[in-house]
Amino acid sequence: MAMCNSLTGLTSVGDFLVWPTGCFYYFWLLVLVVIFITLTLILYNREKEDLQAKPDIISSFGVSSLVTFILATIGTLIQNADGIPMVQSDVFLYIFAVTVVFMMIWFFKK
Amino acid sequence: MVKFENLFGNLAWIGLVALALFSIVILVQGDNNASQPLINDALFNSSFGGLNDTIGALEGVSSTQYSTFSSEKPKTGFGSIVLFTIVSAGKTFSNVIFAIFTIVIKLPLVVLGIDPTITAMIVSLLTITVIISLWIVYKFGG
Repeated sequence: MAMCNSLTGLTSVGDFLVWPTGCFYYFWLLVLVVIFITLTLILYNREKEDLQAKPDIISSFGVSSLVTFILATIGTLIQNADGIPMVQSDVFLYIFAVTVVFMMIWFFKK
Repeated sequence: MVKFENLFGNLAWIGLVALALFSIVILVQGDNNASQPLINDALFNSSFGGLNDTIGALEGVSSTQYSTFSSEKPKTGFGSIVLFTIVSAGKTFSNVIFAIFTIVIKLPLVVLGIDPTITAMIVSLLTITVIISLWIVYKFGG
């Protein structure tokens, strides 16, 4: 928690990106969840505006989960000087599991 | 009612997509020296290995079933042609459906803590769907 109080000792972009994890472990999970929901709603509303397309929230969820998954994969590669990744492996497993579940629902619905 | 080939196709696609996701993670993390590679996680590793084996074996399974099917001499039945190998093919591919589903659902089940009752319900629904669609294949040939 000590590293949470100040922004000192941050020498690289990696250090800066990992820094919030020291304050709140699920920080990046929360950020990715927000991205996921926002992207889903954007995609769904865009489909709704398109008169030729049939809006489908499940497919929007599927596409957004893939995007979130790719962002999380990139996040696992960014690490600070101590070798702590931006997205920890257990957080990444949550995202991976959710992606698989949405993929399954999407394909089953087809 | 869902057709058997559609059901199998959907499950095969799910398996393939899941395998692709597993592979992307392993390759990207391996190539970039990730500090916490997911391949070290026992659950992730076993799911990937199981899925890889099941989908890898599909070619051999399909080839065996096709040879059995093509070598059978058709018999004339009451207003139809009888081919008994379709039963064997149905059994084999329905087993593949359950194998893929079990492996793919294992990781979300453990990680997200999904209640086993929900999985049991999905499996029972899947079983009924597979049985009925197989029966349609046996009876009407598709």
